[in-house]
Amino acid sequence: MRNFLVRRLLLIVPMIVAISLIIFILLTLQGDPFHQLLMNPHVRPEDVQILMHNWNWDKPLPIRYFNWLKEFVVSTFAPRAGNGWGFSLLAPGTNARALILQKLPLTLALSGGSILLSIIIAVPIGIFSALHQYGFGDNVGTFFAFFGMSMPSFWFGIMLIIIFGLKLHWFPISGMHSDMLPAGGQLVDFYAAPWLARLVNRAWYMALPVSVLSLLGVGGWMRYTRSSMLEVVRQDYVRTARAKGAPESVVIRKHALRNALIPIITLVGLTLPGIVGGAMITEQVFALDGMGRLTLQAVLGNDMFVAMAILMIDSLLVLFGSLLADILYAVADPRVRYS
Amino acid sequence: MKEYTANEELKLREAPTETYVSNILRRLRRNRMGMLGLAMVFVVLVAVIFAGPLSFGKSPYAMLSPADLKPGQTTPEFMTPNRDHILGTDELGRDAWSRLLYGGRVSLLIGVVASLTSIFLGTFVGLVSGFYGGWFDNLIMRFTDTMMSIPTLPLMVVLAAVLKGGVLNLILILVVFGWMGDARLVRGVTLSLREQEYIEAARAVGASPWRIMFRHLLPNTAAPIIVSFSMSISSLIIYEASLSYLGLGIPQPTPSWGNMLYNAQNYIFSAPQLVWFPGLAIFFTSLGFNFFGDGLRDALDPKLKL
Amino acid sequence: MRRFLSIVLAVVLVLAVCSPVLTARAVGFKDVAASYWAYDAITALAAKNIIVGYPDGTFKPEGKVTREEFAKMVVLAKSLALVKPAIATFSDVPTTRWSYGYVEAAVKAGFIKGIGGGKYAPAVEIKRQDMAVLLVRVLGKEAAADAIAVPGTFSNDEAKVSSYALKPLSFAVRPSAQLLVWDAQRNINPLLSGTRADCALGVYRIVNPPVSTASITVALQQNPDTLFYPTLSSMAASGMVMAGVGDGLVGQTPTGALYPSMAMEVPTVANGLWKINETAKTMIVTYRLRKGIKWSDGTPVTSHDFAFAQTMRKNTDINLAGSRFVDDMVDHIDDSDPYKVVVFWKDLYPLANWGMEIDPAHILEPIFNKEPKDINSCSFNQKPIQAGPYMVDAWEQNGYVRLKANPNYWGGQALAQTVTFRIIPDSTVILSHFIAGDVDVAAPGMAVESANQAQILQKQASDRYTVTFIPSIYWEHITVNFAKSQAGQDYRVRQALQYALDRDELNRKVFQSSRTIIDSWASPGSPQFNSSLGNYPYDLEKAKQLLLDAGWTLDASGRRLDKNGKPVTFEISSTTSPVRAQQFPVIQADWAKLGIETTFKPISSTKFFGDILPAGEYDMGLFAWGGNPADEGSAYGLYTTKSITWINGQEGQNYSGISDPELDRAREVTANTLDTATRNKAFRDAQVVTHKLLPEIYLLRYTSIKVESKKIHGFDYPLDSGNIAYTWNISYWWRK
Repeated sequence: MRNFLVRRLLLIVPMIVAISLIIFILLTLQGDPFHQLLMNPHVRPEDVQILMHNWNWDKPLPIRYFNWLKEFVVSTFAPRAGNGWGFSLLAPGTNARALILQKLPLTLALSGGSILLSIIIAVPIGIFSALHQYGFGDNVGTFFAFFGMSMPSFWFGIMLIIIFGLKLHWFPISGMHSDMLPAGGQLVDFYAAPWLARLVNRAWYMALPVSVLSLLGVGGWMRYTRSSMLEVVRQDYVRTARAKGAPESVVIRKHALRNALIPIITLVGLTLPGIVGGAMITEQVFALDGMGRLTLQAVLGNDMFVAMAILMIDSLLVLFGSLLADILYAVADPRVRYS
Repeated sequence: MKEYTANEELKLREAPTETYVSNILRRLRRNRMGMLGLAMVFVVLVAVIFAGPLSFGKSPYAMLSPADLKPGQTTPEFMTPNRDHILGTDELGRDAWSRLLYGGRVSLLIGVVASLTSIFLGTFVGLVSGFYGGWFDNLIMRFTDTMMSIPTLPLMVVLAAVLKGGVLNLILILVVFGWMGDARLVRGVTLSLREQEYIEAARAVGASPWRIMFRHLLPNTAAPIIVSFSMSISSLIIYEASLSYLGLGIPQPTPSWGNMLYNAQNYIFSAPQLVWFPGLAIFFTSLGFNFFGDGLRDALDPKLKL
Repeated sequence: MRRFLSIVLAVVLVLAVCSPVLTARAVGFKDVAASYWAYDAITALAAKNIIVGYPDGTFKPEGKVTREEFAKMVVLAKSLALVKPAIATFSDVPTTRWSYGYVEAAVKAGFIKGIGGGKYAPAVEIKRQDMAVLLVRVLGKEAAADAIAVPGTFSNDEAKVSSYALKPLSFAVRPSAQLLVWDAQRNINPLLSGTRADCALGVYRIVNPPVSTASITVALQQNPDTLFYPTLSSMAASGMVMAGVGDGLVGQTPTGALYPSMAMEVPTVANGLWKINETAKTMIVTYRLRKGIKWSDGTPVTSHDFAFAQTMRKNTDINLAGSRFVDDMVDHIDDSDPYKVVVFWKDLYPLANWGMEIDPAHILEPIFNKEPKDINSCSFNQKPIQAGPYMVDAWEQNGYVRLKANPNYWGGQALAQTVTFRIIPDSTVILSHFIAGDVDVAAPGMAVESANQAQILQKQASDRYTVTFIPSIYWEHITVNFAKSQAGQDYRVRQALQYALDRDELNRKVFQSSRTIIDSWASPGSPQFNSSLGNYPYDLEKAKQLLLDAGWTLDASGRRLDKNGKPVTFEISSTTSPVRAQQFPVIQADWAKLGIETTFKPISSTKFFGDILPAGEYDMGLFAWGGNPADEGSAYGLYTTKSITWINGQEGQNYSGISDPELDRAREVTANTLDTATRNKAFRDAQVVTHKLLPEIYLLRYTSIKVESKKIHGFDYPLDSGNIAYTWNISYWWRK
């Protein structure tokens, strides 16, 4: 196991370097932020030349890349020494790290909440579906699962806004929180209100976007649970338990469920990148200031360093996430042995 | 599990043995969701293939002008469904029904071709990698993993912003980020089958590696590939719609379900039907392929006793 | 007999009952339209019979009012009982005079004190400044007016105000009073006689004063990049937010009238504060700063704040958002006198009296002196301190910006306690907010964008919002890349393309006919517009003929070939805006009638404006830009050879690559001549050339859409000005 871990961790390094190179080249195709500053008639070319020189951008691509890579590594492992993964075009005065840290909490709340909700809804349905395979319940469950997976998220999001926000007034139409809350009889600034009021307010604003996101994810979780359950239920030991004369509910609960849920846990590792990667389009529709929106703006707006930083984080999370999934699998299922 | 009565057991035992294909078909027929999916896919395919005749002579590009108005109609744009135009007209006065059909052609074409190309590419890579194994396999798989680890949607956006819009470029973008799943799948199957006796036998007989790969291994990977084909069409159609929502999909005036949604997004309040139709079309098609693919998976799964 | 009498009685009774209705209907005066600036005041007062019209149904709002008539209006408005003491207070208002009761009532209430010498001068027309004095007394705010630390009327004729009337007049024009209005040239006209409309407004306001409002919510579609405006930001969103927060030496109305704010007057050649040396090409502009103005944190404002701002702007470590083109013309600012900002110019700049930028030196100078680069990232970007009617209270990125009223603003506290700018990027969601009613205002061009959305609002929420279309400075066009496009071969080709566009149909189809057709980059109505040039109406036959004249023929299959025999194809690049995507098929269909094939290439806007256009990597570009009605054409160095962007990558936005000696000459004149007439003629000369050569094919001028809650007063934005934000007078807005 230890060898396995070490090998995998070592492998991550060349992989992440390769990934960064690919992403860097792709982003450069769009044009770099200096080029854009240069073309801005309001900015003096001499000023841009100085900036470019500081970033070694007036040199050919490989040197630029290495310069960025060096800066990235330094900023990651020695935060105080570096300059926070690069400056931002879109938000002058901040750097990539500051921006990311700003948007991260919202995205974590959004994605985390939706994954939790997805699992809570999907797993029971998946189990139910598996136990009534091809029955009516299964069909309903499957329909429900694919319902979510077949829906374009922005369409669904706008529909929800119109129905629940506009027509029914149950939820706010957009935004992340109210700017003022009632506290002690009068309105105070949001940040001055008690934490519970703030939490409730945020949850209220998050309700619709979390619903959209979890609906999209429910399908996947449900199908996975169902197939995992199906496989377990066919196993010999379950047949034995039934043959023993145990009531069905005990069979399911004591024998089948635990084993069926193991793969689900490992799946959590694989969804890790999604939590931080955010939901680009959903955040756009609901006007939420999270990582997804930042990614979209950075990518489309040529905010090169910010985009690189975000995409690197995403990729790292994918790599670590799959490693985590494999580890969890080994921990949960003693039959699995890595060499 | 179903308990069989004595009679049914007898019938089963005496039933003639089936061929592989007829076995699959029987199992598929039993799966009601799968059949529903098949029907849905069939409806959509017929509709888009016969878009021409089904448009009843309307063109998806011709814009109505005020001169074409009949008495009682106020504006040529945003017409609600009427006798001349089954689904009414869109924001530029074009027939919405024919745009839906022709748009379906584009969206489906993109989905099918991108899926097929991904499969070809992925299968080839997976077969070769799995067959040869060793460090070669390791290298290819690391590369595959690397590509899989890259966040897809943002980079699709980057590529779409760089390349000129169009069906070919969009397919290219979708394939570049989509072949990896099939490669892994096929490689997995190849690895597990590599050590089987019949492969050894083929080698002993002197079959060339290519022959072994394509004649013996490939057919066994057919099952998961077919399932993947069906399910990925569904997600590729949604990717196309997402890219179009950002304005980066198929450029005007060619219709696609994605860019029809994009065009109509400002008119949700005044002409919601323009948002409903393409949205429902995407949803319906996607759902159909998902159901069908799922049913296929069950039908093709040898471990499932049906 | 009895029957006859009872009929008469019945008729009389009916008439008596109906007469209020009759007189009320007669309140609609023939010469006071609903859009008249004093309409509300006149209508309200007339309904109460405080003022009356003439028998012919007119009101004659420009008529004059005598001092005794004014006294009567005030007494009626305050519902005072007439007072008729035995001895008259004033010798010229004896007991027999018709206005005796009214004048004495006003005396008793303490409103009027006479002109001295026991006289009142009842038959003299009342001067506007005296109106202010009287009305302030009526409001009971004499002491408050007296306590004004820094009097100022924001008008160009402040020097004419008599010393006794200065403070009351200053009070009268503050947001809390709004008793008198300026004229179109921003004069307060203190010595002119108050008109009937003026008096109606003043009297109306004392009975219905503007009330303090808790909050106003404005929809904003973009998140400002920084609030350090205009030094580090040129975003319209930042400008909108900061318009109410900053104050400057000189202000400007949306129609382009300059007026003094922090300065005591606008420097002009006439008043000697703007000295020009034409031969040496130098100028000296002096602004006299009012004494007693403070930053919102209480520190006094001095001329050093202006000098420091200029030093900061000139420093190359600062990521300046605006153009240094003007700053480079400033030699230095002399701040030896703390209340005189003396600007030394080393070039002749026509707009030198538009004011100078100001920033709090006491906050920023220490940061700047330590390390100028730190200015780019200091906290001032998020929470700036300025000296205007509002202060920045909170800014949640991509969420909202909240302003709160600055109680120490020298010009009078704003009416709305807080103003919240809600940042909502999706236009459908903005519309939803309006339909739901939780936003009050949408600034033109910054929230509701399409005529279609405006129509929806008009249909669904017309009881709550007023939706107005105003002319915008932005106009959409197709720029032809002379170096790359086939259309660059011959100007006749471009004219043909212009004639072949059915812009009425484009306007109708895509914009519900809400936009306007234009054929020039200057706006009709401005003195720079050349009205002797023709138009480009839709004329397909003429277009075809022009193409043939240019040697562009049709081949056998109907395709158009250029003069080299190559098939003609155009590729129009543009942003990913759905509105542009909607215009394209119409343009494509129009040009298809000429046998020309056109394709569309949407690109993300940052790449399009930042990369593609300036680098000349396009065939044709579809986009919009705008000019400032106060001064067209000189702000951006369009159309000159020097500013062809892909040749020298420098200033200017000559994306088409047009190069014409006449255009270059015209630009020289407009940039360096101070005489308005000469400049305007140069603009008109330039238009002759651009009209013929068509570096840009004209499409439509935008129409901006204002959405304003019916409950909120105070908006003043008749047209979309390039310089002045919609929120320029936000301190005057209040909720009914």
